[in-house]
Amino acid sequence: MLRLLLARAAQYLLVIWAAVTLNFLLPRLMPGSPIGLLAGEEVGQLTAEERAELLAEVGLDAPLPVQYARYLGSLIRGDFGYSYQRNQPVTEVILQRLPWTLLLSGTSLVLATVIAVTLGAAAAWRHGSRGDLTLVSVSLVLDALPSFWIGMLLIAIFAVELPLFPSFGAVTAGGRYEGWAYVRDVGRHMFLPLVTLTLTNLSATLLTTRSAMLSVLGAEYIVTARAKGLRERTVLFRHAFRNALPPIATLVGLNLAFTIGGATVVETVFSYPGLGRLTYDAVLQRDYPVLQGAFLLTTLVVVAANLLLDLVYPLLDPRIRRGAL
Amino acid sequence: MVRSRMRPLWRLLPLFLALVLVACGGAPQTGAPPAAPSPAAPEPTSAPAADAPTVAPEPTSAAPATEPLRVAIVGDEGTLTPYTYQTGYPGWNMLNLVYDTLLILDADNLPQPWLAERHTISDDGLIHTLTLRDDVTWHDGRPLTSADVKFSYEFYKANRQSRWTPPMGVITTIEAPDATTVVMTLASPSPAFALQPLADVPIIPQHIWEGATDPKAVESTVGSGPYQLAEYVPEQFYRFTANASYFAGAPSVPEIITPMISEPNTIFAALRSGEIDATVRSLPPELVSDFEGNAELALQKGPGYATNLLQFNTERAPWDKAAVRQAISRAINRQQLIDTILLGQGTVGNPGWFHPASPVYQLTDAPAFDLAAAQAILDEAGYADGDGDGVREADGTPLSGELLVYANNPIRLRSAELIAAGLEPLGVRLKVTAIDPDSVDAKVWPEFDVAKGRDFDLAMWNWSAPVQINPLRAVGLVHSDPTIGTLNIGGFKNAEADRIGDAWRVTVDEAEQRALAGELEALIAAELPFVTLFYEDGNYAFRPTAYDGWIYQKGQGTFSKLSFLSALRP
Amino acid sequence: MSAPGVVRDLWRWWPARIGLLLLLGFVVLAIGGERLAPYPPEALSGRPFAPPSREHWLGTNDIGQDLLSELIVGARISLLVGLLSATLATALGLLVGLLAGYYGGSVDAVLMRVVDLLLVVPFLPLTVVLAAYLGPSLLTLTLVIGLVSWSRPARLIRAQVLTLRSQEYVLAARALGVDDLGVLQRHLLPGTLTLALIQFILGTSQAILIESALSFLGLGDPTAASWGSMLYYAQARSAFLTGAWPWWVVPPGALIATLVLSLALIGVGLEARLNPAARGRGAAA
Repeated sequence: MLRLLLARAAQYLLVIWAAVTLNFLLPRLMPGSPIGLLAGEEVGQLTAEERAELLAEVGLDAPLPVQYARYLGSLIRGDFGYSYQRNQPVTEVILQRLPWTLLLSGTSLVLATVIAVTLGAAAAWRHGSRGDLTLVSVSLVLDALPSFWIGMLLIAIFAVELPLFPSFGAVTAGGRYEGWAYVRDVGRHMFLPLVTLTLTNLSATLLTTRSAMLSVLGAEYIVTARAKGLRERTVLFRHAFRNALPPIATLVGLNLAFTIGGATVVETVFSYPGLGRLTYDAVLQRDYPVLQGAFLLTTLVVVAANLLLDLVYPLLDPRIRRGAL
Repeated sequence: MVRSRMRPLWRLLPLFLALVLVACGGAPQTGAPPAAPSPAAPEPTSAPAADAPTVAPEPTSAAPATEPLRVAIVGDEGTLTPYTYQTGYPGWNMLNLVYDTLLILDADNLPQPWLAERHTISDDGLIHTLTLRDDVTWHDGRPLTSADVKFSYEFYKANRQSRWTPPMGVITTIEAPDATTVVMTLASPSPAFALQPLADVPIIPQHIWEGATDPKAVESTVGSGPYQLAEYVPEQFYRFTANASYFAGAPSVPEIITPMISEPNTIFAALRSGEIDATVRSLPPELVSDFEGNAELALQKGPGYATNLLQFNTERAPWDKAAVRQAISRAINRQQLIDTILLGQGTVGNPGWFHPASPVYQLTDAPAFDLAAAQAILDEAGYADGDGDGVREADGTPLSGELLVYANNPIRLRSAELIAAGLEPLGVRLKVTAIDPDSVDAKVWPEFDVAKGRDFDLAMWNWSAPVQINPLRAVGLVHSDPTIGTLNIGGFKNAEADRIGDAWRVTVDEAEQRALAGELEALIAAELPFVTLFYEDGNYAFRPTAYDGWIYQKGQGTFSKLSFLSALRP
Repeated sequence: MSAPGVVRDLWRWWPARIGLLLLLGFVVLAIGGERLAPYPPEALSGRPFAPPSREHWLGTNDIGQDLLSELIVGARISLLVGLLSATLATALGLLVGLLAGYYGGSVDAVLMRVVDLLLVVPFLPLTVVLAAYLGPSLLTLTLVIGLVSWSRPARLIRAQVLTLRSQEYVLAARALGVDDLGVLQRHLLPGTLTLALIQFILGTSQAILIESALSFLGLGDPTAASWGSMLYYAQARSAFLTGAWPWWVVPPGALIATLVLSLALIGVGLEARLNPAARGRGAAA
């Protein structure tokens, strides 16, 4: 078992290294160069020497392998570089956005999971009934709707037509709220994006839960349990649900992994200062250090989540311990 | 076979969700204002001495506002120092709230005295003498003297990663003989010196910036301007507080907050709902009638100077043939573009480049849209459709190619589509290719350096307002020398254009400058290295109850010192 | 498992029946295209931003093109991109899944790590790179979506193969000396087909969503008149603020949802067929 985990860890390290390399290469493969970012607006007026100077300052003049070696070296030292656009260390830039991403996406994850698992289990239990089919259909429809579409409708209705909620930002800009008033301000700003995000993430979890429960419910040991005369509730929770946990856990684990990536579309529509939007801007502007930093973070979190899942599965289902992962 | 059911299921989600979340990811355009890589300040056409009207501090007459004025901007401008701000608009505008320039541009973009009360030029145009006011202080209380001016200019010259540096190339020495006098000696006369650098370069305090080895790391925003930068929360907002002891009088708004909203729809929704009071973004044409009819909102309208054009790669056949370019220009119905895409909120492009509201605009006989005439031009040149495929050929090269356009700009996208459709009957076939902005830039203007060549046929392009505000910059659009024609992205080579450009760059006499501008205008209209399509009008919406003192600066919008200082009201 | 047999089974279950009917409707739209539309979609047939009227049932878009015509013609593109990318993804997934599940060991380990890697590949830069090099086109979109989506079918197929390969008839075949290729082809492949079909169906619906997301991003091809690009223009030209959204934004979004839903219903039906015991306590076909 330990050997297996070690082998797995080694494999994951390989994945991280491959992802890091890819993250290094991919931005540089994109046409266009960050010289516009580095030089600012008057870039057209610079002489050749001035451009070379600017590029040299951030090490972009070196041949690719040298840049790569430097990049790896700086990673090991924990130095993630400076954002070309913001002249701030990448770590600072990311840390500024991280709390908001965690707040919005994290809350949404918890909410969506709780609601979806509950409803999914209920749907499976009443499989074939009207309620089940309605739930499935609604889930599928929700899944089909683009999140930006939902977000903007919400703004149009609840922020413009009926000015109940603010339409942008994480807090009132320049507002100086303290304590409870601050919490309330954050909450008001978070409400619409939270609803949008939760709605879009609900269906997958719901359908998976339902699916997992369904297949489990058809199992022989369930029939046995019922034949034994156990109460329905016991059957549902102790046997069915527990055995359906692995796929649900996988899903939650993956949702967790992607919480860090942030919900780019929703963040954009609501101008919410999260990581997803940061990444997208960095892509469009060729801000390599920020891009690399953000994706490294995502990679690490995904791999960590996977490792965690690998550790947790055997606890959930002893059959899996046999190692055919 | 129950157990096997479980495996597929718990394997099912790893990537399902990955996909859903990835699919739900993504964001629309960053929504930067139309500032294509150009910007920067204009070079003035001439700067005869002007006596400063006495600018005595006046008490503000506006009712003291209790709420801060909320003006939405579109993105983060960094720590907002002269070395870290990001965009020409609105970054430079905000910078100008905190710092001052020697001269200032009024609502018609003419330079007026500001920190410098008087500005005289020697007869040979080489010596500029500026007499500073003696009542200006920095935000930390110390006086602003000629030493600061000399320091600033020399600092910018030495630390070249700023946009203030290039126009200073012409300055050879700067002297500060006494506390209120600055003398600049130039290597050659510079017609636009008053526009740029004098009205453009922010003066920085010597006592703070002296000895700075990395200008981008300096965080202090102590300036001399009407506002102080009180607070900066990255990705969220800036907060400016009024400088009550400003030499031109206390500004009319005590506190300004600029929330950053990247998404245009959100900005205007917030404006309508009252969450913000104004914005630096011009109203899109489709919202104009709606906002005009809204009793809570008002509009400041005026000409916009950002120029939309169809750029040719004049180094590549068949676009190297003037007849082809002329025919294409005749076959484009600019008014239809304005009516359909801009809903009428635009001005027809001058084939000679200069905006009709520009002081040097002179072309009076611009040819109108005429498809038949366009056909005739091509017929006369002998460019007929040899093989019956609907596309003409010019000396063997078919008149077909790729029209590059930014994928995130709907106005340009629609223009490209309509233009391509409109040119089909002419026998010119364009394939509209929409890709992300940086990739387009990489093909049209690789590394923003015209010396690096180009790889495109045609492109929908846009030059931002500053290129119009300083008429001399038109030379940069057509000169064949890469160090002078820094905006010549089409690779245009014309000896006459070079001659006019070279002459204009050293002419100080106003009348002569205007004549040269007229010559260049006529040449551009004849040779058409690019086809000027239209200029979008500016419509700046605001809430009058929050603040009603906005002044429209031609081609530039309303967010500037002009709107906050009664001394600058016309 | 024969095609008519599958369809017949699906037909008997009424949710899947609805899915089939809806899908049929979309296919008709896709094939009919311009012939069904009241105007040529690219023609400036009306005033810009016109609300619905007798001449234009859904009004016009920002330059005066008929929205209903755009909507009808868009079906073809959405369906095409969806089907093609899903084909690519499923085919790749099937291949990788079969190989990884059957051979196990290091082959499996390597392939699965590639799958993991794909999970963390930054989707956005990949799209930008491909779009820049291949040119923004439906081909690029298809490739991008297909490449991003194949890992999920791969994992699922692999899991199923793992189960199948320890079954008696496979063990028997191998004992009899049937070679690897034979085993894969004749014994494992058929067993995975239903699953692959389900993945294909669901993959199509996912691909349609991703296409609209990419178009919204401005990373797709705005000149291809898909539902996604309709939404892009609607958002870019302030449809939500001008009050044009009920007829500009709702229909494409609704059609996307309906098409996705129809595919999902079919997928759910197929799943149920695969797992009849889970259809419900005593639920008959």
